[in-house]
Amino acid sequence: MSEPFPFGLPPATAGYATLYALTLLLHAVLLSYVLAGAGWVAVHALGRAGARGSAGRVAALLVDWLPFALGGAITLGVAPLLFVQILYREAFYTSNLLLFWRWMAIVPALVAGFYGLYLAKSGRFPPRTLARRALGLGTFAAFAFVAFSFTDQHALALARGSWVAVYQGGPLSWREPAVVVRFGLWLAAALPAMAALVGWQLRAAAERQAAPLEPREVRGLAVAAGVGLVLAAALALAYRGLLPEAQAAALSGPLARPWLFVAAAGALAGGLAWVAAGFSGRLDRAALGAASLGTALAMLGVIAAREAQRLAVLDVDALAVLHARAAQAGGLPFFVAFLAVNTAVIAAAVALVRRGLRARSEGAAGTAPPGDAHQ
Amino acid sequence: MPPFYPTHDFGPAMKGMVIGGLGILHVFLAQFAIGGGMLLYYFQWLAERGREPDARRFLDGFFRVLVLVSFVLGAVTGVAMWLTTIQVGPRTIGLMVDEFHWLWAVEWTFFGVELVSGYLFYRYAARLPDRTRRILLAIYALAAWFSLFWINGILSWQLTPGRWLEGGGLWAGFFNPSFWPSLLFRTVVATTIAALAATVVINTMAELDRERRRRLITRAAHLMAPMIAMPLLGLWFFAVIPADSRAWLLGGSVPMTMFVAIAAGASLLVGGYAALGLLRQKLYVNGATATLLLALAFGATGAGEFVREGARKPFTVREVLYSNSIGRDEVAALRARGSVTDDPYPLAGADAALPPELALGAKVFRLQCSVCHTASGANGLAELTRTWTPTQLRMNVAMLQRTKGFMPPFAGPAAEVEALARWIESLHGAAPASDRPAASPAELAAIAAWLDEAGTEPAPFEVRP
Repeated sequence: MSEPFPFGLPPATAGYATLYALTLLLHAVLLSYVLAGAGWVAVHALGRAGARGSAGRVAALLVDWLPFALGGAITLGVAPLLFVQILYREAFYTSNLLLFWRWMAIVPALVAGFYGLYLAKSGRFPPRTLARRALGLGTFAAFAFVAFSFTDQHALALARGSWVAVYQGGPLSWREPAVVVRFGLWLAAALPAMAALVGWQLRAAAERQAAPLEPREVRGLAVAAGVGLVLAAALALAYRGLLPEAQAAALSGPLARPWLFVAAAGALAGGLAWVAAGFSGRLDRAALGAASLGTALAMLGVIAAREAQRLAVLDVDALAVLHARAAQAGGLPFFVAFLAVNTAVIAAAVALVRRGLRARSEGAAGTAPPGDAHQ
Repeated sequence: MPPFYPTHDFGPAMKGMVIGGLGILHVFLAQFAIGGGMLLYYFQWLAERGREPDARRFLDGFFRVLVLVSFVLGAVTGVAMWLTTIQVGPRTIGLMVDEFHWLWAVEWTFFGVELVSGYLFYRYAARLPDRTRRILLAIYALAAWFSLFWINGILSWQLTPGRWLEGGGLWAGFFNPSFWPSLLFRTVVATTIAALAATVVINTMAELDRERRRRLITRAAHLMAPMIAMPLLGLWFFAVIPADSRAWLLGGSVPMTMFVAIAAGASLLVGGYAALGLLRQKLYVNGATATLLLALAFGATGAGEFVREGARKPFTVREVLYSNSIGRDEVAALRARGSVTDDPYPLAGADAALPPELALGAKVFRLQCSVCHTASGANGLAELTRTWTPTQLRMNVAMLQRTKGFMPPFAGPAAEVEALARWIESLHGAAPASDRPAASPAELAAIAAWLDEAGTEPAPFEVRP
């Protein structure tokens, strides 16, 4: 395999791997929003600012949208969960099984986190109370645990040599220092993704309310994104240093290297856009577009490199036979057709609601309150 | 040969109980979401036409319940189902994914529609005109029902693969013999659960007087009217499932027959109350009764799912993969090679200290039996075999599919039968294996003869059960 991922892979493997990478990117974007957003809300709840200030506006927006984002993240996670099973079956299943209850614990954690988000949205707990702080921290901890578990499970899937020992020692015997660094990398990388999405939301809200964004709001997001990018870069280097030789070599190989350049270029472009936005205190469409595109490229690059790293330690030839067999199952045209139709239905539903809201607000012009009147 | 997967001990609980419990909860919540969409559409239509003055008030309150219960628990238990299925049978889920991944991906696109339309309604419905609300609810209800449509084909394929077995391909497997009765039955269950949940919610609307609540309850009960078709749909289902499964459910196995009776009896009670009390006499149902009816529906759902799972025995995918994840076409090779000869995972915990022959037996139990049996807990081998003589034990294990028609054939050589028998005897408190002489060549030859007599195929239909 001397070409960048997924080129050079057998056709069926390349197809599934591409679908996996793309759907994982979509999942990762919303996941980042949830993870970093819950973190932002938790930090904000711990501070003294209460519900006021620019950070408070961002926190309020996050509290409002996080439940939907989590629902979206879970839904978008179904597709990569499907494709990862086709691609890496034995490794994926075995790491699931070996971590056993430690892995299954993500289910109650997700339920707790989900209800935590709805509880925060309900406004039942006033700002600066112990309950609000505990809720913020608990909710973030639940999502952090889920994210860590996925990182952990992925690492164990690659560590075939450890499987028997982990089986004998039980789920708690699996400890891999690189996992902590890797988790930190994802956590840090979640910040710029969250900042970009929140940036678009703030811009939309500002347009609706005909009130420009405050410079300190923009700077707050820029600082969060910048810190995230710098930390992610540092942790990525540290992570590479901790990897077993074969996996580290895979990252330097032709399958992954171009994607790491893409990731670095994306991160740099995104970083520069945030620096410009931070200094100017303005978040115009071009800057936010560059930041978003840069972040998306960085995430895609990392995801592709991650797959290249994984493929380097698995028996690709043996897997390719299974992938080719799976590809013979019918239904792909139906998936493509329904994907197109249902994407159109989603777009139509959004358009319908926008039209309905506009009609209602025009009908009640002068009396309707600005912005979203959330339930 | 397929890969070996690590296997866990769930203590006194059968693995099937774990996935069954979670599965029942998920199915109940998912069906609530599907029926809930239809119910909401109906109430929106009532509100729009001015037929029910409190319809809109109820609708907004009910939708919040739907979101909090279904969007959260439904979605997360859906993920949990994937993960638990992997814990119990990675080969089963692997085969299902291999065959149906594009249709699962189609279902995923409907999840997206369901989520977005549902959340748009949740967030903006109060500020939307009636027509927009109704269209949104129609989209939501259709998307939810189509998610059932797709998963129903995959699940019913496990029991009745139909012409897929003859190379009929994806659609022959998807539109299998039990697809339609199963889909229609589940649709009726979904509307019933939604109507019952609605009666609970209506009872919490303290701002309405009793008469207004009664009117809403009667309206909600309209969605229970399709229950009248349940007996026919049930008969249709029984008519298309394999003859041995049918016999197994209808008297062949008393526990399974009892679950059929519980499902049917609970449905009859709910349906009877709906038809006579709610629709005919337009009775008022208080919160406690409504909750009790909902609990009955949960019981019926649970029993129904248990029946659906149990009817597949000894397979997890009919005619292809046994419940213990050994392929039908792999038994002969495992008889020759040994089922655990290549198993890389050593025994863990207390079993790690077992002497070699018992260890072999424990590994055979772990691979071939532990998905449905425990050592001495639920469906425990110690209790099931306690009264068997040593010869009977060995013969019954060697001729497993003949001993019980719903059991798979034993997939190992005579030495593994002997090792398993000794391990089971150790559960009975027999003398340690190290103190007993090894099985003689004649004893092993007798076991081999039993294995040969039973063959490597499942029991013929007329014997199962």
